[in-house]
Amino acid sequence: MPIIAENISHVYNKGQPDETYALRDVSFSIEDGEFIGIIGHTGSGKSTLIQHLNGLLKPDSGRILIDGRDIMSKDVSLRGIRRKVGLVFQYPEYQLFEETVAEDVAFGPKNLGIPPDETDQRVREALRLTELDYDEIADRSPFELSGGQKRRVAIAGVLAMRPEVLILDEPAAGLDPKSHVQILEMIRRVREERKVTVILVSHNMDDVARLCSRVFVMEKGELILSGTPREVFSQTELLRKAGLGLPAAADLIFRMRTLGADIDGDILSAEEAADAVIKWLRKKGKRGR
Amino acid sequence: MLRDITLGQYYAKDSVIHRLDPRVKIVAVIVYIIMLFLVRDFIGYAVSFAAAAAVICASGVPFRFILRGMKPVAVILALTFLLNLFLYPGTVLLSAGPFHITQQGLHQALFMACRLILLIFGTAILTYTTKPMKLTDGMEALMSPLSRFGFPAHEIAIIMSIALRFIPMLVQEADKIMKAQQARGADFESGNIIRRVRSLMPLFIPLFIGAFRIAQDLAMAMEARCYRGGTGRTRLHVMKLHKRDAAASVLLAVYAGLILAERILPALF
Repeated sequence: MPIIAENISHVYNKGQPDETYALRDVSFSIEDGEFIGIIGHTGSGKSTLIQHLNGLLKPDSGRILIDGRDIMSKDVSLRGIRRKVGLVFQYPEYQLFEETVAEDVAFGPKNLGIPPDETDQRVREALRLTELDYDEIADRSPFELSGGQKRRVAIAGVLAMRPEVLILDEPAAGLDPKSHVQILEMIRRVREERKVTVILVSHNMDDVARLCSRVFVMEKGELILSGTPREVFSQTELLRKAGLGLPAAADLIFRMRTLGADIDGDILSAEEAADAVIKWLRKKGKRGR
Repeated sequence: MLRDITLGQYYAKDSVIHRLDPRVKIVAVIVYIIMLFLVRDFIGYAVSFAAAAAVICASGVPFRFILRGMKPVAVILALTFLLNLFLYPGTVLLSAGPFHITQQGLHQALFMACRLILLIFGTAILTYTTKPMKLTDGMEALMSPLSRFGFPAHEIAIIMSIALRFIPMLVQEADKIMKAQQARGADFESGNIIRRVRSLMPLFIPLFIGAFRIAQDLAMAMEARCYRGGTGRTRLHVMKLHKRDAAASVLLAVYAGLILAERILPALF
């Protein structure tokens, strides 16, 4: 189910003195099974962009095509789009409201008119995918869970709709380092198991570099750069201008280069960096002798 | 869709009305409202309208903004007008079936409509030209003499300013939660009234929980900065009366004098 955005723009407070472009002429296409990372400074339009992809916001100009059909046209049901494109907002635990975890996770499927026994099956599946123990947790109130567990329950609530595209807005924000790693690992596994397209909005360059197959860079409402993590993170200057950093390993190598170390290649992971540094030291050692 | 709600409708501008001391403005609006209730005929309304129009001009707030403030009360306005028009006893002017319009009814309907419209003008000018925080400061200052008798003036003022501060925050929060639930297929717009009210639960429960959370954080942050109520508290912005405030008070007295004269004089002769 490919997603295509054609020149979408979104304006806040149109016609007023404080008119601002939240999105300006953004175009891209996303193929099935891709793992897209969207990075950008706070206020660069990331959240506005993803809300367009399931019809929560309407573009002021341009089109969004899902499965080749304009999602704003009259004969496309928005509920159908929202079933296919699951969106997990930032701090999704704040939207929990039901008395029990199971009921909360079932909210989405119920809204879609899924029959009760299938709903129950989906709830079990979603909780399993988010690594929560159904028997232990299903009948408890979502409000007595820990922060990390609440987050998982909220994500399960979207997974229970069995979306074909899963969009997550900073799913690890505000979690401790251990839960952070676990949540991202969980997303990676969900993607493999359910074969979903994943779009991940993140401030963490290391996560994006490690997980994503393609990265979009947003600045001031514009899509200024897109490509594989290796391509994107080699554009150091452009990223710096957009107020973004590099993955830790790439940053280390970048700093060593500015200090005069001649290390070549685009480095992303710690392993690559280690190899490159060893190579460089050997070279230097030879020259020294 | 919730983005359209504007509460605390301040219109940023630097006019003489904006610069007036909030205490003077509050007193002026109270006097103006009392005068509106004392007016007995349309001459008094004409004077009041002229006064309000002069202030609106001086404030530089576009007239259409003032009219926009009418929208929420338009229903009440229409209802008052129609009820007075059709239900007031007196000499019949027009009648169609069970409906009669009387001369007195028409007079009464127009009279009440004028009063309502002028009331809204007054409060609209106040809120358009005074920042909510200044408004609460002004109210606190005006109420503070009462604190001698145990009236919690400072506490009421702080409650009001926090409530004002919370409104945009809650609107934003509601917008976010609504979208999140819509993303899960929730429908807030269709169905009969019972279904609609039920469909609001996924919005209201998280919203209330969020409000309590924010309130607790705020209370904690205030305590961390040693907030302990109004006693002995000084202000960052000390309110001072200027010449323009004196001038405004004189004009207010003139207006009140005119209205009172118009009301009392005929009775004397």
